Amino acid sequence: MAHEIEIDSEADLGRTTFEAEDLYKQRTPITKPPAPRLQSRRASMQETPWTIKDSFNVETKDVVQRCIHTLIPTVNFFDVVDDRPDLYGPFWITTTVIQALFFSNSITEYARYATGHGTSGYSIKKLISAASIIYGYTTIIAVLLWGILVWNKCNPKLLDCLCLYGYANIVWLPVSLATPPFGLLSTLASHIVKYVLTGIGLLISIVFLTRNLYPICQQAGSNLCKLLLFGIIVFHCLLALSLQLIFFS
Amino acid sequence: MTDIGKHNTEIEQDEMENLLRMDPVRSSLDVESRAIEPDNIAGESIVETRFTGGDSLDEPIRVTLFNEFRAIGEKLVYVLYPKNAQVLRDWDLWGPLIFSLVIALALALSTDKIERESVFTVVVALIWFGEAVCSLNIKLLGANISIFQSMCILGYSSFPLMIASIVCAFVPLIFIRIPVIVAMYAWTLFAAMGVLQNSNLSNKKLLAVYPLFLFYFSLAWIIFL
Repeated sequence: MAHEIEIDSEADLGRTTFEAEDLYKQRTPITKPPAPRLQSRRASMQETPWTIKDSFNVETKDVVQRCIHTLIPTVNFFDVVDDRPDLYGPFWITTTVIQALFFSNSITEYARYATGHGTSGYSIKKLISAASIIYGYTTIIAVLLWGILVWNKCNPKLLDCLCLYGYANIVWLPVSLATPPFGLLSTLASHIVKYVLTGIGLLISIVFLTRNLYPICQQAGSNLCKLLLFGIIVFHCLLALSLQLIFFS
Repeated sequence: MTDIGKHNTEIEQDEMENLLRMDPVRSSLDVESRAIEPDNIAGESIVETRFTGGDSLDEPIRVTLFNEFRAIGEKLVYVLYPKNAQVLRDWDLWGPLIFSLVIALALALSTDKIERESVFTVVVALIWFGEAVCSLNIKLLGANISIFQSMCILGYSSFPLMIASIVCAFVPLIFIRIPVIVAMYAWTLFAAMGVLQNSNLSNKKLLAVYPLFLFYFSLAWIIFL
């Protein structure tokens, strides 16, 4: 039965309508085997040469839907992506987070300057720091993860890793925009609230990343899977700590 | 009087015909050739048309600069009041260069001495990189507009923010800065919508508009600080 489904999916790979029918048929069984999706993904990658314009072939409602499912990680993200990862969301979400971090930090500094405390003006170096940290983290960790998974024959797409980490950055947008209002509280209360906000953002993004990477890492073996997930969590905690110390304090 | 009007009309028609025939690459080459002034046929014809129409001036450099500033003014008017998109097809980056340098200079002079070089460098890089990335984004989404043409429109659209940067550099009152920066930001966004006027982005218009909103917001925020 599984073998028959596999042959059908391979045979009808090039046609859009039949592919939709196959997806509809495949959804009728309760469990969905991960292997056919990976095989069909690899075959589709080999068929047509990929251009960067294809990764921007996405509509507004698709991007909005993916953002919502990142902030509420109840569905598998790769089912939402549906084998069409984009680079629009990762790039502009990352850029928005950089601007939001700079906005949050500079509005806090401006409030201190307006009320008489602290030095005057803002620091343009905060913008450079935000760009370096967020762009660097998203790109380097995604490429590193992709390299490790390819080395262990899990065969993910680089675009999937970039898409996953790019959309994961969206949790820092409400965290950074919520920090300035709570900065008006007293010192102790504002510190507690900021750490709680950062903790919530960290928790949501860790759930999002581990939930979606676990099925892929599982193919690399049990021990390596645990090691990879542990590394993902540690690096994400380091990111949250960096953002907390540089921009939210 | 009527003769002078006819001559001006002839000059404008000749110049428009010449400009419409050129490719963007040729127009950039033509700008270079006009700056150096070699004895080319195209250069001679352009110089001849300009000389025969107007007054007899002795200095070609003055005439060249005057015509360049007039072209900048014409594009600026068409960008800020988008009615005729035909003129914007002949792109240039002179206006964007002037506006970005003025904005960066105003911001650098109004900050502390320690950070002036950093502010100037980051603001110039932010403006040009932002315009290039937004233009590339519009191109990748499938619009049938060239990257340099959209960079031209986005660059000219930042003229209201240049006014805001000059006002905010000299006026410390917050009750004047906020209305000025909000009004100029809205006007800049309104002018920048012209870049999407002839593009065929039906379902992706919001995806093309959002980066413009983000880019000009970050620029307006830095101007306000």
